[in-house]
Amino acid sequence: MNEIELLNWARGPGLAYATIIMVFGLTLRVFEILSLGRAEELAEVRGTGVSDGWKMILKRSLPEPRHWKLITASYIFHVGLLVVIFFFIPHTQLFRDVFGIFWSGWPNYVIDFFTVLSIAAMMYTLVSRFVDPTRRILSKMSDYFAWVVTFLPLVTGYMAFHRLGIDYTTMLAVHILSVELLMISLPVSKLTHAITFTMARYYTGSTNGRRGIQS
Amino acid sequence: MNSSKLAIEIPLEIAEPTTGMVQAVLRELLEHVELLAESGQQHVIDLTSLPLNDSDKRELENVLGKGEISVTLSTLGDSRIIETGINGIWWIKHFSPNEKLLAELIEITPFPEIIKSHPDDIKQAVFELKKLIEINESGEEV
Amino acid sequence: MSDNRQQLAGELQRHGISRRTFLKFCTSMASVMALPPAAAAEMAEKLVKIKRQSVIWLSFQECTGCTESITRADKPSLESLIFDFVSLDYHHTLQAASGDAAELAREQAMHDNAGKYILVVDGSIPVKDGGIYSTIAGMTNLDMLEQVAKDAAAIVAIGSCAAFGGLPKASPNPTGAVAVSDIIHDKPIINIPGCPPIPVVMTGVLAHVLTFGIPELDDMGRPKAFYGDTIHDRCYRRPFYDRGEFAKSFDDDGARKGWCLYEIGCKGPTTHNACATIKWNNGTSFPIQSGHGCLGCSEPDFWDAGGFYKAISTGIGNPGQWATGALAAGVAAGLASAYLNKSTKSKAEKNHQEVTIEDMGGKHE
Ligand code: SF4
Ligand code: SF4
Repeated sequence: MNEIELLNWARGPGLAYATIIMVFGLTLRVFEILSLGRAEELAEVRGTGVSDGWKMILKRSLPEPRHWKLITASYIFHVGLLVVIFFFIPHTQLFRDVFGIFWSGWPNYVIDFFTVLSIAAMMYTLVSRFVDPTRRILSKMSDYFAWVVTFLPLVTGYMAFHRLGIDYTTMLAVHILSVELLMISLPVSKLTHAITFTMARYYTGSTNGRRGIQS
Repeated sequence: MNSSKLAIEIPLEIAEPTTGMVQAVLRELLEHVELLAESGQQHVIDLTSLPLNDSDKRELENVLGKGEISVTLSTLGDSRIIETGINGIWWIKHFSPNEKLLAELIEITPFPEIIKSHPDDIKQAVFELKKLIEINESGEEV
Repeated sequence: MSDNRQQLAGELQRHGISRRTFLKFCTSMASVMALPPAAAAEMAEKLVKIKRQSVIWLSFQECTGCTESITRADKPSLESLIFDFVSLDYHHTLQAASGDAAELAREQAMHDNAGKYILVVDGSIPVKDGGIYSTIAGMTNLDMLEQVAKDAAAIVAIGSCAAFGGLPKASPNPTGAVAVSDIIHDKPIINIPGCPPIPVVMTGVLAHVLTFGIPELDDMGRPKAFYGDTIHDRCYRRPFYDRGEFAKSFDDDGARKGWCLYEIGCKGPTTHNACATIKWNNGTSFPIQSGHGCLGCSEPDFWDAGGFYKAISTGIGNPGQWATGALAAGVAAGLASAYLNKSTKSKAEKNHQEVTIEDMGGKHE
């Protein structure tokens, strides 16, 4: 297989498998979680918990003074990832092709800035896992796995755009394949939080609310 | 209908900024001219092989300037050969029949090879000239 | 020495080529192939010394576009000069002989120049059902290729079909078309892809083979001098790409301003060819210069690499459909698993028995 065949495979069958596994897996997981239901409340219910649920979604998105460095780094790469994924012009072409909706991308230098920032922030979070004894003990293989599959698309994308390392065709293929790995990992790893985070927070918030716990 | 409204201008070439390479090329030229002066060693530089963009090439052309000799070679399209303002540095452009640049070279030489009449061709010329004279003597139309 | 000289003078004169024309030809060939300038003189010397090199040109599943490209450069062009230094012993379209006489000429040339002739191939080779989908003089392309390749010094695969399978190989490939390199493994093969290739690229490579032997090739057998860079590497619209200024359609403001054609399908970034530097029609222009993206015609499987007018970053096929299908399947599976969960739960509830103190052996006071 030569590099252009690899690229065509990544853009064709590879993307098909990844899309199917991701969408199927995520849908299944959401249904599973919803069907678990809620534990019966034995005490008297003190409210509907709706507003508490919404509050929690918001509150957990706000920065905390504790571990501010780590939290800032996490912020940066989450925002960076969002920007890079949804506003790099070639990516907007992909979304238009898939969903039929189009929004304007941002200039390359903006994307470049966010990419470098995200890469740096992600490196920081990795290093902190090694350096901080508590976090080192808490980190499992699955945490490192999640880090790697998120990090790969960022660096390979950056290298492809700047024509670094191997030739562009191969690099582009590798980039797309790394994204497909990420897509496949989404439903089967902790990365599912990308779509379940609101559900989880709402659940915690509303449960607390119904129990009268201030959140 | 207003025809100027219909005119669409698509920029075909974008004037690139110069890269600053010209200075380096000039230094390389100096080395070769020194060699030519000292030992008569000649040299050819293919301009397409240098990392010069078009703006650089025009800048280099301007810096070197035009000398006293310019030759046009007419064979399958023209070739323009000029001695630059610096003696011994010749600028050669080969064009195709439809005026497209085929090759652009700088030769560091007393006289570019392609202009000279080749000894073999000169030998051939002896015969041809003799033939011409014969024809002329016999009074035939040329 | 003087013999060779005489040969040069004689040979050139016979073709009505002046020495300067010839030098100019060699200089531009050397320049276009990025050979050192000194190579021009060497090439001139060698080209003249060679006995007219025998070339056998086989045309298989092709459209004759490649032959058109190499022969229709407006004459007399410098590129066509190369034909004065080879003896084209067999070429369907160009030869005068036909029928048995033509095949005899091929066999004669193969016999006389065994081990020395150059085989040029254009068109792909159908191998399905024993290769019956294309035959010449009752012989399948497959057989003819194997027969002629056996005693060839080198093979030049001209055009994307011979080099990679090209259009005949496009999905679903009804004839089982393959490239020359899929069949012949024991001869040097030079691939000159393109649909068609640029004339001067074909003649330049031939000149190189005749004088200095096989040029430096990349991993796909392409001469690096012509296929070393992508269209995008040398594209004059590159500054717009780098700035992210893209035409969104063929007649919008961006298109008029000459912005990058990436969004309307340009395959320049992944296409290795020399169009952006050598250009077409004697250097007049090339697709991107006239406002149309590169189709990627010189890359393998370009016909199956997604829409011509869709960006390279899009999928090949219909990702939206896959996603919808997967979503539906996911919902179905999700509902099923929800039902399963519920029934397990209610079963568990049903089977649930309250444990009393008695059960545990205690006494209920
Ligand atoms: S027009 Fe095509 S080759 Fe040129 S810069 Fe844009 S994407 Fe690259
Ligand atoms: S610009 Fe692209 S599609 Fe057009 S001839 Fe060149 S390689 Fe082929």
